[in-house]
Amino acid sequence: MAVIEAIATTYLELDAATVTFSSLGTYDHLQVRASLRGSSATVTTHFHMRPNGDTTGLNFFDWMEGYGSTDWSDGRFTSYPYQNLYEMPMGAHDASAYATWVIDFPDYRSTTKTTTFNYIRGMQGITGAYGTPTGSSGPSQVMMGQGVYNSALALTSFELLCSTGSFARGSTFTVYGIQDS
Amino acid sequence: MADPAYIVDGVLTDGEAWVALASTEVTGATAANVTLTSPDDGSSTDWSQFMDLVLICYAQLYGASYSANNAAFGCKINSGSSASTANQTLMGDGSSASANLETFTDGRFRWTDGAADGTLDTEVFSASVVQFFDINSGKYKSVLAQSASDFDGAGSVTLNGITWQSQDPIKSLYLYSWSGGISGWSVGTRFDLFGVLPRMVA
Repeated sequence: MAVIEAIATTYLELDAATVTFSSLGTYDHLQVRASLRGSSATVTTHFHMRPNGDTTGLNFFDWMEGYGSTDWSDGRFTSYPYQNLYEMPMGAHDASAYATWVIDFPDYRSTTKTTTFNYIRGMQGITGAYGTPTGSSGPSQVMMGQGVYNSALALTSFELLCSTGSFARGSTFTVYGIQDS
Repeated sequence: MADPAYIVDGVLTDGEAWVALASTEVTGATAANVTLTSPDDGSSTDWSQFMDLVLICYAQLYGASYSANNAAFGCKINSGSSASTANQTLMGDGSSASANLETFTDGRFRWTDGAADGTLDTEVFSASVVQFFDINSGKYKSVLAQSASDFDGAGSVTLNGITWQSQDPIKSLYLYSWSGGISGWSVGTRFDLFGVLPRMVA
């Protein structure tokens, strides 16, 4: 078995409301690499994740962000029915703008530990009011964040979705398995 | 010309998803700059087959008369490009956090204030990982860089998010000193470049 193997890649040729990965193999760790854009023409779109498809409020998360000259540390968000990994470009942004994530899930198959992941994210500039952006020429965003799925169940799947609308055509997701030996 | 490792006896397979493309270590004398370039020959290391690139850096800049402990590491994508870049920084220095946005129109960006051998211990290097996404797509190219530097009594940890506003594929990376008064990368500096493949077999 390869040390780092691409388990699955989804390239969206059409907009899609959800993307689910449900065959995560028997690796030691997972990494997800994503390049995403939302389909909404007017509304800020966030990237949400439901570990094991669970919607019962077991998700906790925090993040720190650089946004123009502002450094923000925010959280703790508790007992959410999803993980929020924050914004992606949408209709108000340049058509070629996509946000990118690297998300790491260590020891995802453990049945005695909760699932904690960390991620980094970058996104092109945004202008206009929060929630209803109007353009791409404003401050960019860079973020590091973490989330806890407060269950000792092994992570066997995750559902990816948008806070509004769909993932736009051209969005890509790849899940990698990392083997220690 | 050898087939890529993911083609076995003419059949497409999914093997190692990370492929070592280049490894450069500065030896003997400082190097004014380092350029990593796709061979563009259809070989197993041609960048046109990869989804992402990951650049692992352990680097220090050198200037005999340079008096500061730290200097910025610079990169130009596809040298000669006139694409704009927007570079968002988030940095912590041990006592406070700060953020900054800067833009340029010649395809360049900097990703850390790294170690420089001015008054610093010559053995101190900065560690960073720079990731280039969807390098062959028609999207603007996104870059994420994580860096860690020690300045002998101070230090910094930095996260940069860069948008290179071009739909061109990435074919070369020119690595240089952003700061003036620097003669180049110190001996011992190394850059290792990996190509990241997607899943290819259903």
